[in-house]
Amino acid sequence: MAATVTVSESNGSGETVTASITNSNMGSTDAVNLVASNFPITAGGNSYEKWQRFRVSDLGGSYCIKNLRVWASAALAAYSTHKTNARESAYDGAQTYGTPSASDRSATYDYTQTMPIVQPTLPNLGIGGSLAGEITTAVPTFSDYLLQQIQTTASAVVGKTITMNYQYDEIA
Amino acid sequence: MTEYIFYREDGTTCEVTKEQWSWVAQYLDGTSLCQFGEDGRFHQFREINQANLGSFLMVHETAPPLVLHWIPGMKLIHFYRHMRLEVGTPNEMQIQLYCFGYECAAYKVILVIMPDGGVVVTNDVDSISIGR
Repeated sequence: MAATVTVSESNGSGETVTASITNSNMGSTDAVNLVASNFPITAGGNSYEKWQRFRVSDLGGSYCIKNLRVWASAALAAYSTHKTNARESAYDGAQTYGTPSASDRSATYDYTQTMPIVQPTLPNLGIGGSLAGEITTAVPTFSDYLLQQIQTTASAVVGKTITMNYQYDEIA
Repeated sequence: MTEYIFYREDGTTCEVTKEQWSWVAQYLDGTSLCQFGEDGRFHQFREINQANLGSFLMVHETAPPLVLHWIPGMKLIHFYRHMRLEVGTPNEMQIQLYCFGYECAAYKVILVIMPDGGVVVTNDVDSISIGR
């Protein structure tokens, strides 16, 4: 078989890892696969951070997984920003897991970038702290954390939906 | 046959399902190495002896093969690009592109087999964008 690669998410203080997410909805609680309408973000506040990783549970006959990229389908509405640590240059390396928070901890965890809304031309999420990293074993093995947070101002309005896209290369 | 055996360096094995498109390395001495061998073995791309390569083919059960007549000194390229788009929506798509070609210090040529079987020739796979 080909490599088995999923997007995982970590939640809680004890880091409960869900191996394969079914959505990347963000809201006012720390939960995987949440229903956004049940957990609205108050204007002026932030969503809880998302801590996601590419997870390789089996390489199958392949040699490695590399070149990870993430991007959103569109920007959020005015007065809302989708922040992330994913970046194509000046990557800050792997972040150490912290219990997801609705506080703005972007300075600590380097999610100071706005999520790209077009397919990145270069890898923007690292493996082993490097954008040039490779996953060559699967026990399972994870990428660096992809951090995301929606930050709003008091003028933010509801109604905009965006979706996430994930990409990787497999060398077989 | 759709399942092939891959013999890992650590002595373990795994089954590998045959891809829609797979590679065949044809050597100058007339021998060849198939990604999915007639003996039921799966071979990794890095097993190809590029120094003795005559041509590199991507083959399909029903479509004509795509052939690279080898230029000595080039570096062979082959990988799969996977995209998971619009995650968590009714429109979610999982796409695999077959990418192969060659490069040298001065330039790169990559052929990309698209999901509909079409082929894009490019020097930059990242220039290919798929989405609604």
